[in-house]
Amino acid sequence: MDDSIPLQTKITSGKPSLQERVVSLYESHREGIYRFLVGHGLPPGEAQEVAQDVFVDLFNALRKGTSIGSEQAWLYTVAGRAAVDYWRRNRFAGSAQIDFDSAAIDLRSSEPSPEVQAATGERLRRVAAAVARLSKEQRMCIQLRMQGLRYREIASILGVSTSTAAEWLVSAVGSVRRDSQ
Amino acid sequence: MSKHLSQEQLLRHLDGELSPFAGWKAASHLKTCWACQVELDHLKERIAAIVDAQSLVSGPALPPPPRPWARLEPRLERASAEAVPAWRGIVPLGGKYFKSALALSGAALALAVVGVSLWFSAPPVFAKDVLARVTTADGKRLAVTNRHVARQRVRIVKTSRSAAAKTVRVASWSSSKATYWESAEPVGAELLERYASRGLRSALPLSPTSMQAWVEAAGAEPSAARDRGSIRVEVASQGAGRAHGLERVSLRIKEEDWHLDEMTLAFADATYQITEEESGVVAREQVPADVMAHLDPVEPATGTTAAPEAVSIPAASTVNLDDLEMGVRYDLHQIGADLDEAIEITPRPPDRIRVEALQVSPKTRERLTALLGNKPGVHLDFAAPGSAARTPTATHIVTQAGGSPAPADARLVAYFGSAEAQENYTRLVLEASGTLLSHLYAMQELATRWPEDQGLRLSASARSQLDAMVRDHALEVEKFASGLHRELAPLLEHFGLPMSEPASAQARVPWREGARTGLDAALRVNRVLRSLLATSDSPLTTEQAFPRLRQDLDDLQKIAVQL
Repeated sequence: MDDSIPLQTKITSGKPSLQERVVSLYESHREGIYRFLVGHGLPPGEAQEVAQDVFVDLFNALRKGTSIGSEQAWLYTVAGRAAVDYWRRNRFAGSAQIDFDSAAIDLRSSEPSPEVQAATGERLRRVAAAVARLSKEQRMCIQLRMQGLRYREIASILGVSTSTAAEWLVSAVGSVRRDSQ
Repeated sequence: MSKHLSQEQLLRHLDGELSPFAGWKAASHLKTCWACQVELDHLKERIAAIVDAQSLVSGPALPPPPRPWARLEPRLERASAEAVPAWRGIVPLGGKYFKSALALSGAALALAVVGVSLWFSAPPVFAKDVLARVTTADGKRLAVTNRHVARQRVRIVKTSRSAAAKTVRVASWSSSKATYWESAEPVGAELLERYASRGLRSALPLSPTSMQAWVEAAGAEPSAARDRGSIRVEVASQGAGRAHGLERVSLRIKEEDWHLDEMTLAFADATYQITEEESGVVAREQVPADVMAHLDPVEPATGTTAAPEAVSIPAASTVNLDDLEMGVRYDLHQIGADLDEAIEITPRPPDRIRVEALQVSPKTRERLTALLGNKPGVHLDFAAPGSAARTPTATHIVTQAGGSPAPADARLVAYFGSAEAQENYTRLVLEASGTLLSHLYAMQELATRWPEDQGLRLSASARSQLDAMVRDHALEVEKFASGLHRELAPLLEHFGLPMSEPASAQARVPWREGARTGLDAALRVNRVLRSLLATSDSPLTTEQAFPRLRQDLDDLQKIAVQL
């Protein structure tokens, strides 16, 4: 036994505490949650507040023994509901305005040539712009699905049936294809 | 499958969102259909482009947070302090208690011991499980027949910011036809109005129906935790629930018998704590005559009926959702629509069934509308037909014959006489196998929906509908299993594996168990048939396939005659 390590460290180092776990999730996912909320129309200041609140909610839920399959999916579920609440309170809230033409793209890829990289960047800009033109419900469906949520969970957040959520997803993918060509 | 997959089916398949049977059909179709394989690849490419665009373009282009991110620890510590768990009182925490290394290590050990003992003594509880158990247990406890009535007396404590807390009592009764609440205080009527606004006019104050409806009204995920011998389920209202003024729903459940004995409904303007004082089922003779008059409403002959004094609650019809759902399933069964994977049936407490028909043809839509459109309590919802649906074509079975047929393939072709004859035979047996599977999936769905213990919640007529559907499916299963057995016997015999005589009826097995084991066997048969005769990820030689096929067919046929 190595006596140079304090006993408390030995006992606690095996598994992080609940607080440590939530803080670690906060550090990994707060930017993503914030961008998700801003992307769905929340003003940056409010989005940052809500992004912190959802982690406190997660902490409270875990303390109560709530069964949470994917913590990431849970965080986006709560954030999604906050965004839907915001829409209901602010009926004319739109999405964040982004200048896709001048958006810098860090491809970090091994594209073979600058020309291919430029073409890829251009294609992605068109797709991003097409996504931005979708309805807010369709965009929400896409982003929640990207975070691993099931159709039923997405439907529950948006207050619609599972088939409607599926329909919005299908039409969103179809619209993006048509709109980005 | 005789037509191509729609975009929605492809996306649902990709996302694992098809029902088991629909998923199996889609996977089977994709194995043989190049057009759909290509369409699936295109769909994947589109999704990849969207994901890339979102993460590489849209996300980085959004405005950054206006302030540096605050540390979360202070907020989590405050949250911890707001509701201190019981064990925190046992072990003193805080810097002043930890001045020596000995104290520090002792406390850490104590915490570890307490943590380990808590880990073993109190497994976590899951809210959805708890609600399901309460629904089953209290559903049985309060189930009534034509000769009985459920009776419940509750204490209601109303608190609000503007007035002192008020305690009242409500007595309630529920027969198979109606429910009646009685209270001498306005708070009782006020609460009933809140129930009525959620469509709960026919529910007892504390019942599975009211519990589910209020939890659903809150519109958020419930959480559950143990609390001194009980389980607390909490739902903080979100979205639509909050818009209706509901802020929180809290339930107290006795774990020993999964009994809901307290529910608190917190609205923006008042909170109602509803606690059970007494509940049970009594004979109708024990119910006062004036109460029975409300539970057995008689069509008024003339004029109006005077409301009894101090009675604030009118009677209303009750709905047995299980019966209603069974009626819908039975109707669908009559037109063969229970074999169609594209129809979802969801109970919507307290009194509705939602039927979602996805991607159905105009003809099916017409039939469903005629069948269920005017059925009370049924909400029929059609999803828009797939925009990219393509012209239906015949199923193409691709045999394994390649540039140079393997010896086993050559033997099969020789047996059938030609590749075309083999293809025709393959189509025939795979279609029979698919039909067999669709009946077994339908049986399994009924078994899952109404497990043995929940069949008790059905009325006699609903049970007979269930029996009739099971009988129909079982007959079809037997017919197609025997047909496959008969059809494949000469092939197996030709390759030196004579089949045993078809099994005759033996002792029956419970149909729920038979559906499960039959489905397993039928899936095995289907897999071997595809591996042997059509395209497959894991093609088999005749030497590998035939012994398995003989065994699986025997198993299937034996199960089928026992259903």
